[in-house]
Amino acid sequence: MYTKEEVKKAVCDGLREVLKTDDVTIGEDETFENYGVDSLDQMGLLLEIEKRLKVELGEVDLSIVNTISLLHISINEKYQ
Amino acid sequence: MIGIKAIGSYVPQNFIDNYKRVKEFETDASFIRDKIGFESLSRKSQHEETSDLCVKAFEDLLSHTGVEAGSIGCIVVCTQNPDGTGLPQTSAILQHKLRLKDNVAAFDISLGCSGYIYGLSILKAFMSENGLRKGLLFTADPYSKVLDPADRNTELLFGDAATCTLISEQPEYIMLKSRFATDGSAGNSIFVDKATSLLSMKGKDIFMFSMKKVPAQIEECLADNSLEKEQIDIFIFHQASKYIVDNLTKSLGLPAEKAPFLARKTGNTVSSSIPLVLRELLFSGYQHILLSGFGVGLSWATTILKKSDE
Repeated sequence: MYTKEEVKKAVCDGLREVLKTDDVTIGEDETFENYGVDSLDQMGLLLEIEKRLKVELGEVDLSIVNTISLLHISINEKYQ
Repeated sequence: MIGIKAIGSYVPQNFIDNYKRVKEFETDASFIRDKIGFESLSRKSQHEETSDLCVKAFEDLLSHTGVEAGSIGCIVVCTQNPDGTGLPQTSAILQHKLRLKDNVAAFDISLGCSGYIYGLSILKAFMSENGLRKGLLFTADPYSKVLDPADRNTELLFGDAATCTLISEQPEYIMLKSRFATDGSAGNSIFVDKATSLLSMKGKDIFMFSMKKVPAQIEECLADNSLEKEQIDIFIFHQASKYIVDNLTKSLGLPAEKAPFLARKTGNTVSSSIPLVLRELLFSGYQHILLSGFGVGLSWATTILKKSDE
């Protein structure tokens, strides 16, 4: 089980890497697309989250599971 | 010792401008320029067959080498988009079009983006086993034959091209040990749909596969050859997209200039993407060049070229 804070930290660290910026302030219910994450960067972000949380998220599509809150639910459904 | 002597190429000079299609595909210029990286895509004409592209690549080879067609002992064509339905094999059609004698071995190999590295190894082994002194490895996989014009996942990516690599004695580069791998369970990540005869690709699956499998294989290939990354002068990755080349480069901790992305004008030309880049670097004097191709299959392959002393 992962807390929402752990998922949020992984997402924010991943966004820093993918978007090449230190300034990441995404809300838990803000969509990745609205935050400026395009379809290719969604793939890069997924890879970064996998590395940080040590999970396999091959089946997750960040255009559908598109917020931190939804990702938190999705990961815990798989890794409960 | 046989190895790579010269490379000829053919890029059709009809280009599709991807910037003119940003509205149609609901994207923007920065995505084209900075992410996929393909500003235009080369397209063969409708009447050009796969073997015709190969003929033109051979003509380019002839124009800058003294190779005589009569001295060729073997031709191999790497394609998954052959002439007609693939029967007869494109290599036999090509043998006839090049007016080669009938004592030439000719066969096709069905591989996508890993095909150039497989082809080098196959041709080298076949020639060595049979005492052949000159052979040609062709790559020609015109995806325009199978592209769905409305599919954003593929239509902005793929270009048509062909290359012809002369394998012979007194080469510029010899091949060191290679690594090959396959995961057929993920074959539906990129395939031609039987019902529509059109290409379908799951971009995310290809990206994740590329990032997880390819760096590990490169490390293994380096270890097999007792070489460190720092001893490789240049890394030529399959030019799948700028995004994939950039991320592989980052994943391996390489400086960007050591792994160039040089397919802005042509697009992803499948098995031709590596030899198109290699052609530009063949006389650069680099001591070691690493080649890594990955894609359809899923299949991935890596080899290292060493400057020949001969």
